[in-house]
Amino acid sequence: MGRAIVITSGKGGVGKTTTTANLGTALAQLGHSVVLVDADIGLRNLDVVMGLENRIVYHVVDAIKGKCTVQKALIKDRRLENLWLLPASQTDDKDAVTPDDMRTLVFELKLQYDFVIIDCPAGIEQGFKNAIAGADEAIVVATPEVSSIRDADRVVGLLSAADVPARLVVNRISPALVKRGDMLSQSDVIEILALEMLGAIPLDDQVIATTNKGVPAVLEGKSLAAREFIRIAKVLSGLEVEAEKSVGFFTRIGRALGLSATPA
Amino acid sequence: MDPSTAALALDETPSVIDELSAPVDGPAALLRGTARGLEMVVNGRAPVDAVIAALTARLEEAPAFFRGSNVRIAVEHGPLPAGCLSRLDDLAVAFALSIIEVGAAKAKDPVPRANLAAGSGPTAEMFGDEEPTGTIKPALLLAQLASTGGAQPIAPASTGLSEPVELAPAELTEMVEVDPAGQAEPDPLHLGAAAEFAVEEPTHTGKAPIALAAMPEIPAPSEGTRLVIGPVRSGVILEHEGHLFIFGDVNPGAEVRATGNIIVLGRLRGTAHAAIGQDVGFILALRLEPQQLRIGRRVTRAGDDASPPTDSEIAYIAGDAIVVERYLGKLPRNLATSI
Repeated sequence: MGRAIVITSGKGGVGKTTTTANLGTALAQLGHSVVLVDADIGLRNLDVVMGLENRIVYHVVDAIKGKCTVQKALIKDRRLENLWLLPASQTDDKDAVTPDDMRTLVFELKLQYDFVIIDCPAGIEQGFKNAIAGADEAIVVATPEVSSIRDADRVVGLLSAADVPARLVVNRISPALVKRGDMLSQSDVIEILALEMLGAIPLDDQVIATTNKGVPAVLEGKSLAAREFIRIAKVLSGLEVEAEKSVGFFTRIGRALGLSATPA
Repeated sequence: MDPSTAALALDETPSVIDELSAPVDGPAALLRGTARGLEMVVNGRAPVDAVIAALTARLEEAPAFFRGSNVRIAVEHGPLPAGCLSRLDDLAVAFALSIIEVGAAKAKDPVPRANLAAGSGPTAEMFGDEEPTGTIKPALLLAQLASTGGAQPIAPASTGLSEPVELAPAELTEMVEVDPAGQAEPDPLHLGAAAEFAVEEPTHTGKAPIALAAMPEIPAPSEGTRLVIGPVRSGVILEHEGHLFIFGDVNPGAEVRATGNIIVLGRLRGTAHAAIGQDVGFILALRLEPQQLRIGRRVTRAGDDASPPTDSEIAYIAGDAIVVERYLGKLPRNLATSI
């Protein structure tokens, strides 16, 4: 039986889709069978980020409504054998499916795949409720900004009300800005959100570049962000103890960016 | 025996009976209580009259109290002067005491009572004697006393009592036989923990020293007090009729509401409304940094240039406004009286 993980945030634009694409790809690279589910119905992006938008024939609403089997709607990744995408519909909106529909769908996918990664839309309304239905756990993505943290806190409250355990990924963190006092630090974020920390993705231009090309950053594997995604994937698959690694990693970021004494 | 009287009497025993102690170093005699019971400490160098007078004076302070006690005689700077022991015996009879042991005063107990009662013959080891000469063997003296039936001048030890003399066990046993009832009761003066002077122990009577009803209290409403484990997340409304305790933070965007008082054992960063429908109430937090505070019908917010607090703070209504004070362990005076 596979695991269903929903990537959520509350706030839009903090990196949920990028995280879904990169984590999914990294897990597939580690040898697991992975299916990515785009739950952002009406505003689909996961297919673009994965570079598979030209291959969509059927989508998740089709599969739920019974127009096709789930198998027919799944798209195999261009590069990796064991990575699949279930795209969202662009022409429907979030009321097209119900939480129960999603629960059934996700359960069916869990029977066939090691990991079911669900890309949650921004907000806390129907789309959010649909996306978390059927999830075993959640990864909350937040950037070190007050508005993002506020929304993430709201989402964590809703997740705990729904009995979905959550962990935190801090995205787009800049050690230089943290050092200058212009950005909240990793520990500031954790202090407010009071969540178990999974990882911290540094602000990385590589990610933007590769996203636009439809190539997840972990496929190149060299950038700092890519390495952190890969490390998180290892943690998710139970391969690595994260605590000691985090400290060393931050120092490495600092040094790579040319800072002599970087705070952990 | 009344324990309270015991405490009173024995408190005074260490005092010296000075008018009788002039020619000797130290007091002529002392009466004191030890863990093993009543003890007469006799200064062997003091005149017999002084010794007896001193002890008589002490015993006369509370004759009823001492009546029936077993008493040990501990001799300092021995030996006992001539005639002293029989005078002590008379004294004991007069005050209805039983002399159960006579020995040299030592830091440690020289003779375990059990040994005497068992009737084994006295030896130097038993008395723990280390003084070479001039040491009496009290058991011997007592035995003599018994056998002669009364007062008899006792020669000073130097005339031949320095050697332990074997006595017929039966004789000895009879004399020093411990009152079985007394033996069964290791505390003949019923002093309990107070018997040992060295150690101050409280009497455990099981009663609280102050009646609890005397403490001032804030009444709890019928709904009771609720203890919630935080953090209270953004968007959550936590309501309670009664007093509300939160162990953890109240995050910005969260609302906590109560008809009673609100105490946040964490950071209050959301909105809190206490004393809903009342006029009096307070909000206390380890770190009071709220978006808004409401008490009763009043509202307030932190000033625009307010810095984060460094101490616990309490907010309450004073006059027409909500005031915020540092909370250092006591409720503010005007709040405590009005609540």
